[in-house]
Amino acid sequence: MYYARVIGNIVSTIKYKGLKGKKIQVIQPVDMKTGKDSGSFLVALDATSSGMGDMIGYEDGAEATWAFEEDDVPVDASIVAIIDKINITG
Amino acid sequence: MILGQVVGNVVATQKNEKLIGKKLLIVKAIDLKGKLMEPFVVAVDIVGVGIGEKVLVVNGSSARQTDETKDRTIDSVIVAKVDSIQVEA
Repeated sequence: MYYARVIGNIVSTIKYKGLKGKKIQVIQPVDMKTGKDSGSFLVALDATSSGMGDMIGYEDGAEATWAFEEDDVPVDASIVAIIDKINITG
Repeated sequence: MILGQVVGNVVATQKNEKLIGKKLLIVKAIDLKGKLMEPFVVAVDIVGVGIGEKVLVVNGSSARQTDETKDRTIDSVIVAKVDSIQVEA
């Protein structure tokens, strides 16, 4: 799981049926230790109910499809957690 | 998923039989302001988009999680046409 912040969302009416009814968010990966943005934004499907500004955890690659009950969800990045707090020692 | 814009198409008469009937489009990545970026992919279109339209592209094995691409030699697929993008100020 990777750490990111929700920075926007995307509206799409014409899309594959497996994506219908799911929220498409724009997320910005964030470095867990420094809290700074890290790398380019990406587009992720929301398996939680995240909102703008929320810190979230996402999965990428094939694992992203397992976040949804249906097996015809073509997605390579999914939001799977809303992160409340991070504790790091060392 | 990659945010991109369709910039062209690819015509291939001789191709793997599992690709027959599939529309191949060239999609360039764009930033959140719509500016074209360098990387591009050749993706199979399953939703019906045209040149110049903004789209979402799924890569890798996730691209085969659709009826149209299941068990086919495809690793990049256009799954949505983007109507609008809202980003934080």
